[in-house]
Amino acid sequence: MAFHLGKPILVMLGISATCAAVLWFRPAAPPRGELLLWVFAEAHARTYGGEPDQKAPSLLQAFKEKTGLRTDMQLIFDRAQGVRLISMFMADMRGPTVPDVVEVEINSIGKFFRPPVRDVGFLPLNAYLEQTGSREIDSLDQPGHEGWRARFRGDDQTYKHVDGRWEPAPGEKSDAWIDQITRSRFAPYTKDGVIFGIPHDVHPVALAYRHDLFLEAGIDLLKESGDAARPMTWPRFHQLCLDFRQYWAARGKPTRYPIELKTMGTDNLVVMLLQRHMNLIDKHGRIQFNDPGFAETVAFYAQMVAGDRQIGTAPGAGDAAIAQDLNDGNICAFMTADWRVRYLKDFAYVDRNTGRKALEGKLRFIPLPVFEPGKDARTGTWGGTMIGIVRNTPRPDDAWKLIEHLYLSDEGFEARIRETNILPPVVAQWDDPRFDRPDPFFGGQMVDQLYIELARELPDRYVQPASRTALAALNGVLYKAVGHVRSRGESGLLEACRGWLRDAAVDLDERIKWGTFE
Amino acid sequence: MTGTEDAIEARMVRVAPRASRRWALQARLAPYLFVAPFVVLFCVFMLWPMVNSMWMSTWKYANPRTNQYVGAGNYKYILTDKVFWYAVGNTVMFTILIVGLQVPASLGLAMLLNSKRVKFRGLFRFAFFSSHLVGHVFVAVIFRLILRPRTGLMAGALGSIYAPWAEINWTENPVFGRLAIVLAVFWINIGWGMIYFLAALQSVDRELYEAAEVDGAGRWARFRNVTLPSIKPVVVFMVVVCTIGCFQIFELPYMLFDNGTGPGMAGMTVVMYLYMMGFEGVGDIGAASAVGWILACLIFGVAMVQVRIARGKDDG
Repeated sequence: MAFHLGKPILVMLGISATCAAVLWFRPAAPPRGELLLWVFAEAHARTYGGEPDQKAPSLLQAFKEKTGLRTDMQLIFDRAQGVRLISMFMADMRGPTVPDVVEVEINSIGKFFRPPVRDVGFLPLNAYLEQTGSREIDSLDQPGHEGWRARFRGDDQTYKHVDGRWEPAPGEKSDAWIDQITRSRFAPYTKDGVIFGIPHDVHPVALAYRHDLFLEAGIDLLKESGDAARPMTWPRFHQLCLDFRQYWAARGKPTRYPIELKTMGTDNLVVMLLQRHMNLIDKHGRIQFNDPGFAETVAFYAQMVAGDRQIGTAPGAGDAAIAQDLNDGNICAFMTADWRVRYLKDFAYVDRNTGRKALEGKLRFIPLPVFEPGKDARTGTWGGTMIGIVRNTPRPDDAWKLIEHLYLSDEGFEARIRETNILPPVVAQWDDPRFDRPDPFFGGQMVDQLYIELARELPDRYVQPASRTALAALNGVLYKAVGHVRSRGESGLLEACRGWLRDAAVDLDERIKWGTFE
Repeated sequence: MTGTEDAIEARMVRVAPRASRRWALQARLAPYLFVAPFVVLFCVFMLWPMVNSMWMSTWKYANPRTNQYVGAGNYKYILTDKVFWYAVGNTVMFTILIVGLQVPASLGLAMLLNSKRVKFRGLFRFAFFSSHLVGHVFVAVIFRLILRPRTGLMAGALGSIYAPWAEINWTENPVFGRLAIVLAVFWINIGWGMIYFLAALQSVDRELYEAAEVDGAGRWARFRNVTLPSIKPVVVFMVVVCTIGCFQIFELPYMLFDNGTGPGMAGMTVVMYLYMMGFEGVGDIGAASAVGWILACLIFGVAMVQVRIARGKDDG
């Protein structure tokens, strides 16, 4: 057969024709559901959509059965989601491709709050939070907590929990969702008092460590961490870790590090600052770099990750690497938010001889050390997710129903316990008896209870439009501080940190002014 | 002549000018019709976005309701921002290192694989080129795993020479972090450059080599006086294209370093700065557009200088 343009062209034409035919005859996509939900975390997608082999209806299927509304869920990597979402907001898009409900990661949320409140791309949720979720009780013997207000189904009256009993509270309204969710967790998702997101979590941070290796070095951190009234201090912890390093170095393990602390990266440093109730930018938009405690914390952190008194090192990228370092005893303690607990279990090696996880029984959790006992929190917060309603959605009320179902309902709580075990933001759910169980993997320690205890003293964390830029600035200061410790030791470090932070604050202030609309 | 023939002739007389007019019109319009699809697509997907982005670069912009005309304000701010110049410096450094490494290495590899003495040349050519088929994001992920301290391949290799080297955390150290980016780009592109040079080498006239040999030229003299002048257009092309590519580095550092810019902003490139302005740190598409135009000017300027230098040498 001869083709006057040649065989390659003929082949290309054939391929083109085949592709065109496939595209033309491919089955049409099903019509969009009434609601479109965007999530960025695989674990959240599993929680809402169910496991592939799950027999019981998933949360989204249950929502459809309850309301008749079909929800399509799209799992989109958080950075890609951020770009798509901000592009949609910038273009003020409407239509079927625009999601109705979106989950956003806490570090990404600031940029969405740059416009004035009336033009933020998310819908204000204050009214929904204040008008729905009324707390109800079936009997006056039902347990409660001091100050709770509930509607008693028996007589439709409001009762208040005072001194361990439900007392009539005529004229008062029962608690709505806004009273039932941890207040501090609204802070990152609020602008000028307007709430744009419901927190998915609380994410208190504890210290998970290799109890066996510390004990072998003669250090009992459980004893050292004491009780809430006498917590261990960071300087004391630092000293214990130096002893730990010395002990293991003498036994041929000079690269066995007591704790994971990033040399270049601010995750751990920000947690320590939050413990001291210091945000990079506070809720009024003021830069907190010049707070005296700020420089002290940065300087203290720098000498924990560099120089002669180094105790911390960074693991490789990814959670599997962290678990590997923990398994191998390369790094023996980790700041661990509740979302990280399951990773520690899932990625732990399996002992081939016993078929059990090699780390089983070797890990324990303690609250974070503090700088000033009585003043600092024994925890910080690390990571977080909010769910919000896109302002341009044609179905805001249905979107709110979906949020209630996924985040605040009992079914949502059950799915969460099954998939992630992340502490919910609804305080009443912390009373669930499943949080009281000892965990054999952690030597019988009641880890969930520790997280609940810490969640009650959670410091406020604020996110502002310039928070991301502030983080980059803090990273720059930390880089200089670590360089100073490496080249000149600790002498003059604090003063130098103050200077760098002062300069960074001036620079950041100029950036904030430039980015703000007049 | 019958009456019928008269009628036909009369009709032809009437029709002919009309047909020729139509033909003339067709001939005049045909070129425009042929280029019309391209022009339409170019205008919709290139020209209009370019004009629009130029216009947007004069605005501070969050959404259609929240924006402010700032004229050259964005350009003024960016050109006085030390982070921008840091990003330019970083990008220029990456460009010099990568172009300086890649062009000679690709040429060397091409010469090696052009030699008839090497067996399985086809296999090697494919093997070296195949790295170019892998996306930058995948490469960044692979390099992150390779460069992990203690548990990565590189740590294993270095640790076997000197144990403390296994502790080097490439993505937490600015010097090693930059080196990782250069290595990754080099790994991706060396095979791509090799293919261009191979094609160029194979088109060099054999008679020139024979004549040079007759004149007593050694290997180096043949390379300098025959090969290089013959493949010069490809060398210039490679340098220009590599430079443009290096000025657009973004995915590799973004994925290699968790926080985007890396330790001490070692991975901050101009495109990263643009991305931060538009989508991450500030969230202002107007400022990002301004960075885009400055970058376009930078690339245009550098490419012009390179071509001018190459031409100048040619003329000389």
